[in-house]
Amino acid sequence: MMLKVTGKMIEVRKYNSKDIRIKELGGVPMLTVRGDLSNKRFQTIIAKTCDVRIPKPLNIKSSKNLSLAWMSPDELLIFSFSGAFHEKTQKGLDSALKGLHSLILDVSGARSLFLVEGILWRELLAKGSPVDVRQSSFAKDAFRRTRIGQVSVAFWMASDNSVYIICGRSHSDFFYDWLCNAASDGSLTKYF
Amino acid sequence: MSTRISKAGRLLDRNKRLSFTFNGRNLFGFQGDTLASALLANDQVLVGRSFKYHRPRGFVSSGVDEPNALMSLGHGGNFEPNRSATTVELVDGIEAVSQNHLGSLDWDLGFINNFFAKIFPAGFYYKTFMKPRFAWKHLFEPIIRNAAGLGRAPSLPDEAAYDYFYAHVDILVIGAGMAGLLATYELAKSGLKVTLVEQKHYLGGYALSDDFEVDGVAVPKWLENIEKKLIDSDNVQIKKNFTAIGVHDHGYLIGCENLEVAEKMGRSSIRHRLWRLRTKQIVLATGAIERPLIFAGNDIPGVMLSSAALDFYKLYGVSPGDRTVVVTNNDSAYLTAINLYNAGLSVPVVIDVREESSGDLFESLRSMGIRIEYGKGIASVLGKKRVKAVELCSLTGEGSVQETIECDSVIMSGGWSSAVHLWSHCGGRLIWNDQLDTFLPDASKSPIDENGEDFIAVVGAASGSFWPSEVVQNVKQIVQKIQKKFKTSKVKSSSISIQEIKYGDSNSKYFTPEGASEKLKSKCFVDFQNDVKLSDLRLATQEGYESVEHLKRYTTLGMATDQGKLSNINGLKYLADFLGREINEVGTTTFRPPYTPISLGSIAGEARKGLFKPVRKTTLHLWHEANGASWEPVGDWRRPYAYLKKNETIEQAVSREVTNTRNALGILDASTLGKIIVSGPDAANFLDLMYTNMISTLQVGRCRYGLMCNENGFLFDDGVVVRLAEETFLCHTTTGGADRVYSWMEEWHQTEWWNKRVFIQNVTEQFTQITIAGPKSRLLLEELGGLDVSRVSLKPLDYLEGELAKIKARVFRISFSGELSFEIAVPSQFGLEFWEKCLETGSQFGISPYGTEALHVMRAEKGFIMIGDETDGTVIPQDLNLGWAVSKKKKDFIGKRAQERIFMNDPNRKTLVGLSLQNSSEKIPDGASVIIGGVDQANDNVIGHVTSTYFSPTLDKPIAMALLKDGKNLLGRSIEIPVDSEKILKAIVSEPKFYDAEGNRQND
Amino acid sequence: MLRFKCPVCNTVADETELSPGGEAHIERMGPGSSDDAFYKYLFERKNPLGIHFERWFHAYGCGKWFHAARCTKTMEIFGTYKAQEIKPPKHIIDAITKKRPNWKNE
Repeated sequence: MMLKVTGKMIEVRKYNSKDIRIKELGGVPMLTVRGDLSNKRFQTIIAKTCDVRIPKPLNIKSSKNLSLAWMSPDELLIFSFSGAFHEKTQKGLDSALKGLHSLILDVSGARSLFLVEGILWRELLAKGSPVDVRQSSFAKDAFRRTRIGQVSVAFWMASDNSVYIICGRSHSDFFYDWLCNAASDGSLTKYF
Repeated sequence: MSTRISKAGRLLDRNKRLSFTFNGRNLFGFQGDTLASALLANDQVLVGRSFKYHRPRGFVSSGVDEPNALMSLGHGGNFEPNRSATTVELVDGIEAVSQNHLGSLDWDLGFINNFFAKIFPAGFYYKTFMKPRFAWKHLFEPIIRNAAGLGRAPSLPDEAAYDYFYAHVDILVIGAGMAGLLATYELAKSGLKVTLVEQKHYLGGYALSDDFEVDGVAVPKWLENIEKKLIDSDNVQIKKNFTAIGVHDHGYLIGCENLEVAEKMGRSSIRHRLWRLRTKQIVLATGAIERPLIFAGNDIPGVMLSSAALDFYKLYGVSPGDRTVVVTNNDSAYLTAINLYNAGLSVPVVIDVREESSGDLFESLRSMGIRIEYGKGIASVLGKKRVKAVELCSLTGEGSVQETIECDSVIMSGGWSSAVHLWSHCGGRLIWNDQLDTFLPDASKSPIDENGEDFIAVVGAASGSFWPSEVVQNVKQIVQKIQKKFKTSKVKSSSISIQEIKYGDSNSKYFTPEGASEKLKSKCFVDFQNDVKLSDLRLATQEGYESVEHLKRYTTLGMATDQGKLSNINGLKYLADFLGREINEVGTTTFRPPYTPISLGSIAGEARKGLFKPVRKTTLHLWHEANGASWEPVGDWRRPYAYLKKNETIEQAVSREVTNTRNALGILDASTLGKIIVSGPDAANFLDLMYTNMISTLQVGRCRYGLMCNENGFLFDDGVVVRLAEETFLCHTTTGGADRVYSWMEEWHQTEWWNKRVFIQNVTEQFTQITIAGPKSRLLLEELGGLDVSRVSLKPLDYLEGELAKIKARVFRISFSGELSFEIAVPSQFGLEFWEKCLETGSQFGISPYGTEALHVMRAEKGFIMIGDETDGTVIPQDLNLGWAVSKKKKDFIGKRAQERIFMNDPNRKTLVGLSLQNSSEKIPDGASVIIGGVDQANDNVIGHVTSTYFSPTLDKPIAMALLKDGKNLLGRSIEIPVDSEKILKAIVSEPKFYDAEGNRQND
Repeated sequence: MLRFKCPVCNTVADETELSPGGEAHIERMGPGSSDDAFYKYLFERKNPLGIHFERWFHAYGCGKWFHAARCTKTMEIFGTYKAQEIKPPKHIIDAITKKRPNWKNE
């Protein structure tokens, strides 16, 4: 699910190996929304404010302006495609969810976002994550929280040949180094 | 001698000559060789020295069971000891060096041990090195360490790269011999996805060295055809050089892929890859391992297993010698004899411990006119560094020599052990099969997965199907079972016609002659690498080590790097004979991972150097780095300990930072402090349970210092709680405690108080938190502009939200330094910008950053506690004079029940006090014991320990805090702190507040 | 190396994605409880070679706790269920007794 950011998506840093291109991307605002995802009213408000229904568990869905990821039965993560829309969504949710037990937090600075491109992206994930990343188990729209190496992450397909990964902001240097090492020339063999 | 034979050598590409060195000598081999076959082709029969006696040793096997040919490969950062030459694929430029000799391989000074073999019997260490005690360290150990052992440890960091690979497979077939290939083929045909792994660099297994025909073609050709079909199949993945190391619970398998050749060819940057596989079904097709026969001199170079000789000849075109004596208890050595004879080599005699034999191989031998001696054995092999002759004797009797037969090699077969190791790893039971003379998997007690279902099937020789026609039948059955499990549509299995070959029965004799004298027994090797002889087993059993586990540990039988692959069964047989029991009753030792040794590098994977352990960084990390930060690890974080200026020591820097903050203005990166949002209608109520204090009475816009205890009543974290809104709280935690406290709250919420409507969110990384401390801090905030931070508007423990220097910020008026102080949180995207603005604007006030040590000094001057210094998991808030923060009104909180226990109110509990040195400017050692009444041996005078200690630049003297028994009543008393055996510091006990006890500065 | 199906998010989680939480269904003893009951709550744990009800935390995942019924001898898992169940639910008990007819939940 490509993040179609309209404004500037900052390329914080990048690394290219023969097989893989790694980019750390800045400037994608994120919102954490807590609430009972099974609550009808909550569902309606989300669908209305975000212009997209709450995704199935372990999935991510997009509208024109944002992507909506299922984090747990009481948590959503919203990636907004512009700062303006991010603020609009936050304000919209804040007022619409008033009276309903919920929590909306701007977490734009709490996480780092990486885009890993190249046909061997599954192989790269398999170097660090115990998740079954075979095509049959991990496909388009799947959003998986797990670990890669020693870092807590979530990842989802950006396209057939690329994957987004988020991790905690304080881990981004370490994780970037991990990715570059895993992508280094001669260390990836076609498997999937 | 061993030579290259032109008409054999299936795996060789003779157009590709490779050069390598052995002990500095330049040698040549061919593409397709192993290091072992190439050495043997160069007549390098002596390849190592044994562990204990330094006896000359040669190749015994051609595979992973090789006990002798351990070598060191490479040099410098690519040096690797203890590699079995039989498992190293030859590439150009290999540097191999033999091990475990003092002096050269040919003239090993350590061989002298051999002549003292009588004084190195089983249990030798336990018996000999008892007394005198001092001799251990200075005499015995250095000598033993020098004399015994394998290769030396690398002296430089490993230059190679290693990694992991996690994969999920449906069916994993382990072993690509005839059974494994056929099973893979049949399973794939029915649409199942199969991964086939093989530890060698080629497929085919032992069948590749065999001669029988399948479907009208020789078996190697037939195997090749199957391999081609598998390569073309979309359902099949094939991995060569992949050893299954261990089978674990729930279908988990660890495998090690050896990429050394690809690495040397520049096709891979990884040397070894550790695979972590989740499987739904494992098919073991691991074959069998041939056992040696035991006779005197069976370890002399030139004595090898018949299967090894056949492999060396068929696959690599290398002869074991010109004249080869064969000794066996079964038909498989006949096949080798026939092949060597057909190659034009001499086979003077086949010594068969059986009374008679029959079958097609026997007929072939007879038609060739090869002499067969039934009911005979070998009394002794003659020769030192190379076989010279064998002495023939009757199997019965004590070994009178009937005839001496000259030869330069001996091949032996003591039967076959099914390779059942992996079956056994995860709880599969083994049973001894008398008829087949091996342990076999007990299908009624197989390893089960998380659903309670069998997940391992065994085919081929590993399951006891040794002969080709049995293999085909056996594979068919197992495949059908698996197809049923996976509910695939039925596909007819291929009909395969195997050339009918009759084999003679084997017998279970394992040593010759039956009545071997003690002298012969002391030359009969059971475990080659560890030099365990028949005489050692006799001694151990006589001394009462009758359990197989004891025997193993006492004699070191089976404890070498080959893990007893060759020796265990023979040792068990001896034990069973000695005890007069069946092998099943004697039992086997449990096989445990790893199946074969793997490199430490592969276990470490990529987690080395910078990737060893995650380091967490704040948004200001680079700034700190550029400004002289000396780092301190706090949890996974790196925090500046102090900022060093040119020509400044750390102590000077800390002192400067403290003084500047006390007198002017300091700035600290406090981002690592945990920040947890707790929000919801029941948030206040929930936090009342989490903290010892009353949180629900906190007013919006106010801060309160809170304590957290565990259910034992012990203090484990502290921090400031802020009420952001009626239903929303921000809980600060210690740097190391953020994740712990967050998980702690989640756990209690989810598992105990799930009816309370709260959401808990860890927002630590969302904010950059900056402390502005010092008498001029208010001036700075006013200068930054945007918020009214006057004494009236922002009182101590007040909180404001708004824009500061045009950046969205939260301002908390809290102080950990004792100075007028503000903590400011800004979204982390703006962290660096805000920090730099503070520094720029603050320069007029003499702003200077301070690190964690200055922070600690200042908090200690104020007597503020630090989790982890003043607490150690057994300290309650009351011990630290923090009883005021433990609510008496609340009905419940975590830790309340524990604090009702009697011993929590024991007046003798240690309490926190301050210490001031008399007449000394020396720093009190951290953690030192505190005594009253002088040093005594029994430590009865110890009344506590030092928890924090610093030199206070503010007071210009050392200060410390300590937890002392009944500390409240010791105020003003003199105590002692022993530093070492000579020096004792004297100090006076005081209140743990050294500076501005009234708090006038922070409340300004 | 175990794997559990997390009953909250329905992923099959690797043991390395989880952290263990020990015995399940221990009733909390708060203020006012007897010393004996409190001692048992704090320190007394079952350690059966056989069926064990235990707690797991999906740390590298949905961040939720759950319960599992596992045989500590064979590592067989009879089912996982929500952390908010105060005793093993019927379908779990049924799954166990189906395979282990002689088992009793004391």
